[in-house]
Amino acid sequence: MLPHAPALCARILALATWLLCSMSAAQESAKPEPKPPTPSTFGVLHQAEGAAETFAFCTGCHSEHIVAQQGLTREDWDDLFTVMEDEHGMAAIPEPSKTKILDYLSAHYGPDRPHFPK
Amino acid sequence: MVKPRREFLKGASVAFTAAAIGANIPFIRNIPTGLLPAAFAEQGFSLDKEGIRVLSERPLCAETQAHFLDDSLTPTTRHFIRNNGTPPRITEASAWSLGIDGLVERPSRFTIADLQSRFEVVSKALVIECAGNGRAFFDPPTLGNQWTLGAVACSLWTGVRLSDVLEHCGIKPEAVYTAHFGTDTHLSGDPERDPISRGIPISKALDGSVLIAFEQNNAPMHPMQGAPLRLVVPGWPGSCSHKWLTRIWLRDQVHDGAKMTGASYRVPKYPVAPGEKVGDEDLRIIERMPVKSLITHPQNNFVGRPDVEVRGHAWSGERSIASVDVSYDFGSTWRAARLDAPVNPGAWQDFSIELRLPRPGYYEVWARAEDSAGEMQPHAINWNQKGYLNNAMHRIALKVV
Repeated sequence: MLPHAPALCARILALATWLLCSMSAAQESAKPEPKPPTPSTFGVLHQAEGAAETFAFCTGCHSEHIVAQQGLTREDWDDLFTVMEDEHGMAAIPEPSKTKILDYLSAHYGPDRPHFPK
Repeated sequence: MVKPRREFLKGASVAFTAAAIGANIPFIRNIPTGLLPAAFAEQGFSLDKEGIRVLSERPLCAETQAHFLDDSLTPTTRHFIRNNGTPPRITEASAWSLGIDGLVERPSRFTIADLQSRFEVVSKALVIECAGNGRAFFDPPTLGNQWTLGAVACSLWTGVRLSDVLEHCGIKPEAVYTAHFGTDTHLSGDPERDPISRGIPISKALDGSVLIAFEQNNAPMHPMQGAPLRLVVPGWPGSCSHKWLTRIWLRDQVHDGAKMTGASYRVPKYPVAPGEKVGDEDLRIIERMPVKSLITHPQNNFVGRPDVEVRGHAWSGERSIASVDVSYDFGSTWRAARLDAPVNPGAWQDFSIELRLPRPGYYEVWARAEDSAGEMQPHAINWNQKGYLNNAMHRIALKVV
């Protein structure tokens, strides 16, 4: 019943492990710093047109993991921009970046969840 | 000291961003350096990485896999984490204080030592569950962290009763709601914004169940659990249990702080079809959490012999559990599990049952709790637009060989 794809799950866990290792590295400076789990250029975001803008604007405040977990319609993504502006102080995203980000999110993070990080 | 990795990444990200976009990024200068506050590393805490799934690094949100929640009392390192903002860097217990103000006769400020010396100190096993636990199973998907099963825990919390502290300050009759504030900061870095500021009705605050806690499992609480001081409001959405607590304001209206308004922690007042959204005026604030259970042994997709002990926990906000039944034939027949009494009100209750599965093959084990008010866990999700209150039955797969 659990919709968990093991490969993606392993990736999140790898990231968690890396975080935890980084933390213990802060305590034990003698040890070499562990290597991150070679994330893509845009973290866990699916590599496609618009990923750069999405990563750049969204990760100013929060990690891209929160983006990649969602499965929203284009309209809902658009509404979410308004919520981010009204409730969280985000400056309006200028065009053409905004449309590019909306295109990217609705294509790759829609309700069918083609890239859900399970 | 090794340079924190994120600081390096941040530098790369900013440089890359400037080149790629040629536009300003809101609050880019305020990105906190270091994902986790110094306190996390300094105090030698870590998460039990084997059992924890990190959903988001910033804010840090992490849940525990069901089979790692088997203990009657959830170990500190296996308690789910739901942060809304950037945790504070300074969390020195000896310098910490809590202010009570607003509609009280005597506005007061207490150090943790004051709380310990002036009020009765109690230790209780208390369930904290995120209102969005189980959101991942909503169809259509709903906005927010996609928690599966593990945004629930029952640790031993030590503190003083919120009711004792408020009564000591003298509650004015006009007070109807609390408002909670802490020292974590908004992710944007904007000091004018609270990452979260929720509250509870005065009647709830005075029912004696709510703790102002300073210890978890007889030890200092995990920094990500709000050390050195937090609220624990058992059986209500975890967001009421404010972390890094420094102020409680008594108000003459329902609190309208961050994540109290709009659709936050609210569900429709009437049943809606999956995908149907209603306006804010048709939403109500979530109070007690519904009856629920979790199978913690064996692990999902267990392969083994026909004799198997099934274990787990069951809980219901402000109520006790009357029974837990288990089925291994897709709900055709049910068997009553042994059910322990709660160690105290607000704790979850352990259940267990020895099953002898009739023949080799694939089984699903379902658990269904019924609470003291006669409410039972449903088969299906009562869909709502923010993905709250999924208390559908937990099912695990078993293969007998």
